[in-house]
Amino acid sequence: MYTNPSAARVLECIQESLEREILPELQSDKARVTLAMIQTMLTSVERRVPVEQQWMADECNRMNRTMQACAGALDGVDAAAAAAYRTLAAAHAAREPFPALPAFATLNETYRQQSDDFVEGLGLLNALVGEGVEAAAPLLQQARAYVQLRIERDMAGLFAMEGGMVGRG
Amino acid sequence: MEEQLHRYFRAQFPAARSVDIRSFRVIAGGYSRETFACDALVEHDTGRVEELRLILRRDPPPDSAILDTSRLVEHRLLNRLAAETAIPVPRSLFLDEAGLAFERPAMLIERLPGKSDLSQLFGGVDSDQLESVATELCEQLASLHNTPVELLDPEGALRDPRGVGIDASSGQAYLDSMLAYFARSYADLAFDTLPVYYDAFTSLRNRVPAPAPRLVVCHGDFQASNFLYADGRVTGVIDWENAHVGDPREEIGWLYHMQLIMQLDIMGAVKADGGFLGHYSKLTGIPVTMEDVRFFQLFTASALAIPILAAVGRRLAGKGTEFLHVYMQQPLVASMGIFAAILGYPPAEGEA
Repeated sequence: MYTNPSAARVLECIQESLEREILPELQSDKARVTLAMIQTMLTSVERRVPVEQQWMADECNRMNRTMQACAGALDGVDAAAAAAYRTLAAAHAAREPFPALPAFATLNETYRQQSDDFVEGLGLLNALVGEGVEAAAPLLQQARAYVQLRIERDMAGLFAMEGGMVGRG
Repeated sequence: MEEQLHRYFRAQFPAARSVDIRSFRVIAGGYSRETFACDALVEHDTGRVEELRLILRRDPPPDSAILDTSRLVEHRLLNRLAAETAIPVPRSLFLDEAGLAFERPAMLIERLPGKSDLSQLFGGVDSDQLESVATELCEQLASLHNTPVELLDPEGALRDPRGVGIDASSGQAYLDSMLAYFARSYADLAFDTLPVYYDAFTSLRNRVPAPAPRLVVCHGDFQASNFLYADGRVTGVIDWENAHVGDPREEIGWLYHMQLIMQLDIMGAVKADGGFLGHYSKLTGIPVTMEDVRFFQLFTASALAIPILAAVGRRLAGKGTEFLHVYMQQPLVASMGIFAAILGYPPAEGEA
């Protein structure tokens, strides 16, 4: 998928344009206040996007560890609340912890490096096809089948222009 | 802008009794130039009233430009086309090359009559005109390609107009230098990894057709959005800013590409000589096969993608402030699927 601009960078660019192009044109106080609220929320999303999935996975594991520890410590406590707590914890006891997701910056950097090398490989396969190496053509198609998946994911995850290009007459 | 126009015409016609700017409006469409329409009514000192129906094309601010093109070159080309060919082009009436009157370089050209809404040709009220308009469009293209380059471009300004090292001395040199330009551009453009574009740039070498018998002046954006029609005739071929000396088959590849995207089959409407390619080849002596068309579809789409990718890259690197260049990610995402289809990509591999 496209990783530059990242979702956070797109939001940053939107913020810049709101500040530079939209704010000076607003006529009413209400519109200016609404814009300020929009900017605050965009900043919030910008901060959240790079950490959201990593933190959710990590916190699922932390919560479960805590709950299992508490349930264990409450074992033998004869109270309705303790029994209820043990029941809650038991519902999660069998769940395998999520594997740790790499930090977004690490993932992004690795993805970029792997992608760059994969793309250079596409060029080399094309060169081999041009030199008449028979084995290269099916390998090129194999590599393209992955790229096709990537394209389809980009269309599903990034594309939002169903109404056509804004500003085209 | 209306004030600027008024001042400009007063300066152009200092003896005029009056100058009136009417029906001024912004024209949507096209991201490369700012475009406005207006009528100028000039009452000369003799009492004669002259009405000029005009289009004003002005360069965008430098950091907003996607295609860096010259109004002077376009001004000269339009007037040479008007003088040397029968192609209906707008004459360029006024040029503000330095942007003294309009802040940035600008030109005032004739506003030609005719419709630009092609939906009426395709299943609409004008569908009975489709074949004649499409056939004449093919003939206008042939006429352009039959006009000697030296007549339209004596200065050589249309040879490598972007200044990217294109050698337009022969058909083979042109193809070779364009492919080299695509390949070396990737490193500069790849603000992100762009596998389909790189695949396209590197696989074109494996498909290169024999060079064209001659290089010609290409319109550079010959497609459905850039002509006007009325009463079964082409009344205008417009938007020549991307004109260049190139391979004539580029225009057909691009027309084919755009008609697939817009789903307006202009080429399929031509019946003469077995269809568009046959008719064009008969008129020009330039053979064109569907294999050529597919090659030049990818070739021209690559050529256009490069300046767009460059603009997006500049913006993301903080070298501009234009939001349009962030937004251009959207059509780029869509274009990847088109490139993949042209390259003959197989179905996506399965999810792991």
